[in-house]
Amino acid sequence: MAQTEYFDAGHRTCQGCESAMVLRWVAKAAGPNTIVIGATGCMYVANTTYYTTAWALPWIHTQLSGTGSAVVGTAAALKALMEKGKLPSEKINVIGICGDLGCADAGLSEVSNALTHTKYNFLILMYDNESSANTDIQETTMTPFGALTTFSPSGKQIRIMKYRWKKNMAAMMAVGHPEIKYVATAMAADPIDLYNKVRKALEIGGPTFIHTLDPCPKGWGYDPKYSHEIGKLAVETGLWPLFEIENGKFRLTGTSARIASGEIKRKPVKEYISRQTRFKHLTDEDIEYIQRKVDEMWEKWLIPGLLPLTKELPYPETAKT
Amino acid sequence: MSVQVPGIYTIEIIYRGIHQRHLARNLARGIAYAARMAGNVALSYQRYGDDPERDGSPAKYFVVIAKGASEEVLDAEAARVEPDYVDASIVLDDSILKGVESWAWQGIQPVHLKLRPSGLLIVISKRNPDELIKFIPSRDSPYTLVVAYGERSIGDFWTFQDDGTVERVLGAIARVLPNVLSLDDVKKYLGSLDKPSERINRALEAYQSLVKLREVKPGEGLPYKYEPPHLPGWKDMMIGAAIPGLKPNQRNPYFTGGTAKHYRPVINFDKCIKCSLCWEYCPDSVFDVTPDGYFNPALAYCKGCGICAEVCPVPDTIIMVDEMEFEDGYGKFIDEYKAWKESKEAYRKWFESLLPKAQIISVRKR
Ligand SMILES: Cc1ncc(C[n+]2csc(CCOP(=O)(O)OP(=O)(O)O)c2C)c(N)n1
Ligand code: SF4
Ligand code: SF4
Ligand code: SF4
Repeated sequence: MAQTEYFDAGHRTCQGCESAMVLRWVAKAAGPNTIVIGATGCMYVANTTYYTTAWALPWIHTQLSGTGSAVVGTAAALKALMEKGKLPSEKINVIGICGDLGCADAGLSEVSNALTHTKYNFLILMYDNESSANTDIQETTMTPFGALTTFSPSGKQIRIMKYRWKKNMAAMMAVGHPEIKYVATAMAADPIDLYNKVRKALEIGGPTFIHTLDPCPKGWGYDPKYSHEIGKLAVETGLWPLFEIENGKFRLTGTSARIASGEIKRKPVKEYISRQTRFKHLTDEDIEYIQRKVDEMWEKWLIPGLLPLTKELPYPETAKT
Repeated sequence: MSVQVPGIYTIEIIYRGIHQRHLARNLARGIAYAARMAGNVALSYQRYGDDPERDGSPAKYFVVIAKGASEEVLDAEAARVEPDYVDASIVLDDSILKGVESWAWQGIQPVHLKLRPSGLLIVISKRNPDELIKFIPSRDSPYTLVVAYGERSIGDFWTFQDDGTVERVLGAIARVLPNVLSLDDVKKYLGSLDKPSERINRALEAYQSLVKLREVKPGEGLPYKYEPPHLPGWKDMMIGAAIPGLKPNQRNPYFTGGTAKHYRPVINFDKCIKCSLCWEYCPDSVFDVTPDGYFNPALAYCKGCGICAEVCPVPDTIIMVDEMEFEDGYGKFIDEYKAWKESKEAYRKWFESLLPKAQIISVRKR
């Protein structure tokens, strides 16, 4: 594994920021021949602190929802310049990095559009801290059920403001863009798995997509020293399945594969929920609801974490007669 | 410096982002409410430049109080990033005395940079003023160092620890700044809240016995000279506001982030099995790999998250120790590996002396 750092110290992220950890390992895996495009968010504001940077790679800031277009534009420009002989022909990685708001909400159409551009090689990495963290923790479609944010506080009248279930981004990207060759989920708590997935994505060619779940001590409310433990618990409880889809072939990886094979048992989601103050107002009933949803994903879905259609496809009543 | 408007009194509250945000906000509001209940005009506001706050980063609240001035005068005072100078600084976490680094363009600022000559530096600490002065740079004007005795109060974004810190500070203010808030003013305000007698008693306790004062003469303290780094203005910037990049393995020299920590990792190299986990898991790329395969923390960049201590598989090999146990700081930190190489025996003794003061990490692994 490369010891060289291409995203190094001297950034203004929080103590124990897992998104910073993701960038460190993505940069390591991608190596020096890489252009990084970053959308507005924590990973822009905290990493380019007034005319200084923590990047040793060419890094471009793009507007909050602009990742998809900026990435396609950059990849297309490189290709054209190389074809015209204005740049030496070599492999240059193009990586677009966006937060959950910048990728799954505001930037979704552009990211989706980019993933249909099969002529160009690039990776879009969505770092998901389950909120718009830079602007002080606001709800996004990726905010999990029940979590406190500044937009979804718990009140006396309405105890649970965020009652909608988290969107399934990696699945949408995989299923909705049938020509893309690599989609994966990952997390910083298993940096080797993340490293390998980034390398695969960059080597396979065409548009690729990786979704990481990044514990955020500021927004999730826990002592920063537990960042990795919280990340691991998300996988061990089954809430965050680790998988990759390589050339259309689905494979669970790491702990998630061991859960699926029955080698280890899923931990109760309570172990994950009770460690974060953003869930402090949840009752046992709420937690049971989350548990049932996770059980359903593992026991009934066609592919855990990916395909929410159930194994026993309901046959329409009318068709029976 | 701007011309001072007579009768206006400015207090700043310096705290650690997120951990102490609610404490700082409640205190700032409390001072403003108490001042208003006593018939003054007052307001509190957060320093814009410190938003968005990050875990551990030093951040500031301000309170402006005026006797007899209009609301408009106060609004004008607050309509800026921060005041040019303050009459009193309240430091909620004594480890911030070791430097304030909020943004790259400011460098590592002395904690009392904005304090007016003969102003008050009020620190919540369990140490006495003579110990604290070892961490504070010298000035060319005198000031008064006040210790409001107490534990560091740490909550997080969603929680507030109602542990009496607000009342203790209000009691201290009544003691050292009676012209701004008298004990009666403080009592009146606390009496308007829930659990009034409990709150008033806490303030009284601080007022009567928990405050220690020390006059600090010009030149006393650390020899640190504050020099903001030279960063280009808009005319010098490259086209498109491009930023010169780093070389691989080069840390950002303009922003270290090391003042974000209240605990630091201390490594027992004698016990290290060179597994590399600390290096692998540090979100801030703090560890340097030594030629003989050890991992040495570049403490100027460490934010003190404690992850390295948490993931280290050998008990008591990385311990997290209160920053106030070390007299280094202001960008210059001990090189632990070098110290160990120079004298393993002395290092071992030093490490053992720190053990009882260390935060116990990873009890589950024991
Ligand atoms: C078009 C636009 N709207 C709003 C903003 C303000 N803004 C800056 S960062 C941010 C949050 C981004 O959230 P996310 O993409 O989840 O990244 P995170 O902050 O969590 O890292 C917002 C809303 C903006 N910069 N541009
Ligand atoms: S708010 Fe969360 S994502 Fe943003 S810097 Fe802090 S820990 Fe990282
Ligand atoms: S405490 Fe350890 S893991 Fe955290 S920033 Fe410092 S060296 Fe890195
Ligand atoms: S984690 Fe502990 S044992 Fe492993 S290299 Fe670091 S200090 Fe040594």
